[in-house]
Amino acid sequence: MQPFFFGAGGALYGAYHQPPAHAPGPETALLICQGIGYEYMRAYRACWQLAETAAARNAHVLRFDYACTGESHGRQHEASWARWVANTGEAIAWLRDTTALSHVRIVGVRVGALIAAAASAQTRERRRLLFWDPVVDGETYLKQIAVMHESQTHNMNRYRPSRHHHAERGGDEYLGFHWPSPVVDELARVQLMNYGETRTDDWDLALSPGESPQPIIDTVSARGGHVLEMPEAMDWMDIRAQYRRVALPQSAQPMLDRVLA
Amino acid sequence: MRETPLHFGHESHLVGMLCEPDTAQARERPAVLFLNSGLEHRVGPRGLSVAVARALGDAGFASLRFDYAGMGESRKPQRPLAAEREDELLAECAAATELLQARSGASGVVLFGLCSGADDAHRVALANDAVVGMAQIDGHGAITAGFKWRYVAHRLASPRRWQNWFERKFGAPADADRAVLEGVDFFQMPERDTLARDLDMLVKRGVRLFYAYSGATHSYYNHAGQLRRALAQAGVHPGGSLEEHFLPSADHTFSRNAERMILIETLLAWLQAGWPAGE
Repeated sequence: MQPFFFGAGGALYGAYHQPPAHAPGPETALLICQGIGYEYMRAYRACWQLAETAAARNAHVLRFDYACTGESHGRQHEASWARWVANTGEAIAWLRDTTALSHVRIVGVRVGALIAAAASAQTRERRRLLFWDPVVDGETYLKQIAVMHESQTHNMNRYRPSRHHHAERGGDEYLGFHWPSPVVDELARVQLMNYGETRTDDWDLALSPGESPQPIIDTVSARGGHVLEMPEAMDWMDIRAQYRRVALPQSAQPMLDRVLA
Repeated sequence: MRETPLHFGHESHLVGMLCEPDTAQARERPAVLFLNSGLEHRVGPRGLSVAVARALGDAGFASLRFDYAGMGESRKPQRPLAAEREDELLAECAAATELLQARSGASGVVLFGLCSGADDAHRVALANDAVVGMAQIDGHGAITAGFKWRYVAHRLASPRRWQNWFERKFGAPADADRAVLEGVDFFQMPERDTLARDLDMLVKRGVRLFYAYSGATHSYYNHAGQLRRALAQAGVHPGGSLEEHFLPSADHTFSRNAERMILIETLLAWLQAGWPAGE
């Protein structure tokens, strides 16, 4: 794995997983669009492992951090949805230029699925996308995170003296991450289904227990895509699981079977 | 400030991010090594390590944040240098220290660790003579009589505690299924006398100490100056080598911007006072 900076002004942190010489299977290019906020933290190692596994199957894999997140340049309050979508376009271009492979496949994790769909919608190329527990409705997602945040603050303060109370949730706070209005306002308008109506991309779904976004399941099935049932519990919306790291001991290979097909 | 990702370690299995100030750092100034907290990778909880590293870089301090083997983007070594994970961690931190000194030109290193990272920092500081400072956030502490009476007084005066007592006695709390207890229990707290002996050794070696506590430490730390008093009760008087801060409204990861800024400014002031630019 080669860590580096790329994109406009060298502002995006990326990690390129190059396949070893003589790796089995057809040569492919794969982009991993990670989630955001605490979900990015929870799935970081799992995305690394997925990338390593894919590289061993002869895939050129790029993971990267969106602008103003992770190791990429910029501060959280400077982030915007439009930038993240544009960053994904830059990542696709980097992979295409580096590998000379025209078809860049994408795994999108949680909000990363929405970003991947939005970035793909800006091009004419038909693309294979695998959505891992996708966020299907940005507004509902933001409300759920806000409720989780308020619940956490409430519980924190239960056991603190009142003079030591942690402050109530600020308007831009989502479980310890601060997303400005150019992120929140745009994310609140995004629905995964909207991209399904206009795109001919090949969509597959990987869903952990408890994740059952029926309209998307129906759409993917109607388009000939596959719905993988993951045995690993992720519990994305369980506040008690926020520090639990997710792993893909059983689902990595079937996910890659689909997206690299 | 500029950042450079790199591999290091005896198998080049570790991945880190070197953060350097725009102008060359004075050799007398230490560089800062960030240790991992819990299972978080090198960006730190809610990006805390990135935020602190960049602020320090802007103020003239180089730093390195890296992923322990088997975390984040670092591989586990095929041929570990030690049988025990704790010893392997010391080897990883020694490699990180050497790299940081070689790249930054700094003669000494300050360790920065939150929670379990603070616990790691304690062991690394004892084992590595290149360490000239240690910043522990929600790290070690010791119970004192002052802590105990404040703790009991708070419990007795808390309507919430009485409510909980009644709920336990006469029925389940309504929000039990959503309860998230905030606490610091990711490491084994050393005994007071062991802690005092270790810190005495570090102070005599010239190591400067910075201890900051958020409100999440309420089960073992609840007032400013508690650590210094606990050390005094054990016969250890670190004097000006110890700086102690209590930020009770902060959460464990200093996620709110206001409290994160206070932490960064306080840490920076400590670094600048201990190692002035022109020294």
